Amino acid sequence: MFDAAFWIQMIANIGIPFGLLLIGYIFGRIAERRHYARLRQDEAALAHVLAFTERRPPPHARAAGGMVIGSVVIGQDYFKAILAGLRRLFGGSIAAYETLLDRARREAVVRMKRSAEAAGANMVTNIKFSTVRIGISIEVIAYGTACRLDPA
Amino acid sequence: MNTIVITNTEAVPGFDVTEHLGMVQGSTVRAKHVGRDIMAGLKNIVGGELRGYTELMEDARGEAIRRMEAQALALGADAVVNVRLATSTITQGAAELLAYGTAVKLKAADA
Repeated sequence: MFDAAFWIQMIANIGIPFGLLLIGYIFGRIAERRHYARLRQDEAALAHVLAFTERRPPPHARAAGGMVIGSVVIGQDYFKAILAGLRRLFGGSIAAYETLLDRARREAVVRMKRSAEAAGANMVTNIKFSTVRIGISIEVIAYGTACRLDPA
Repeated sequence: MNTIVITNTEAVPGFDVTEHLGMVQGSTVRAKHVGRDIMAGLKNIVGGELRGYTELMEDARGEAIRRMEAQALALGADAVVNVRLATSTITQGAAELLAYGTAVKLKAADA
């Protein structure tokens, strides 16, 4: 009854999903912690590039670089994806996706600021965000108009 | 100005809009290839950024903006203002990237 084929079946049915959960948990945690550390570093390094959601650039700003875009496509780890699936049964906030989107959005802003800086700008105005689902991954973009304001 | 200005603000600092040439748009539909799809599948186990996709989308967005630019140039515009970007997944594994804005003619503002 419990022959080799049975055990292979069992390992495939239970072992693989469990293994994926474990891999997802470990690597997902490491990836998230590293990403947050890198974000804090990048954000500090780009703090001098100001970001505004103001529609108009300040009166004395010069155009520099036109529209700048930062984008990132990010994937959830298997463990949190399953966790989120369970959460959906009961409703409520899904913290696993909140941190994912937080990271993605901050990364997009960092990249947008970086390309603004490369164009010689020191501020980005009229910033817009957009989030789109691509398959099972998520794309977040941030875009705005880069300009330069020199102290009078 | 010999190059076209792309901005998502209503005006270009230091310039006045003298003529309105209507809306211009550019779009492209891109699909990811299977190799990248497999990599993405793996990345969705361990989590993290899918660089291949980020590049693909950046590329595609660049193309959409270039097409919008080409339309604006054909109209003799100096700038495209109020540019908006939109992305939508239209079918399994393919996304449309759209850029649209208003083509305008500019004149340097009298300081």
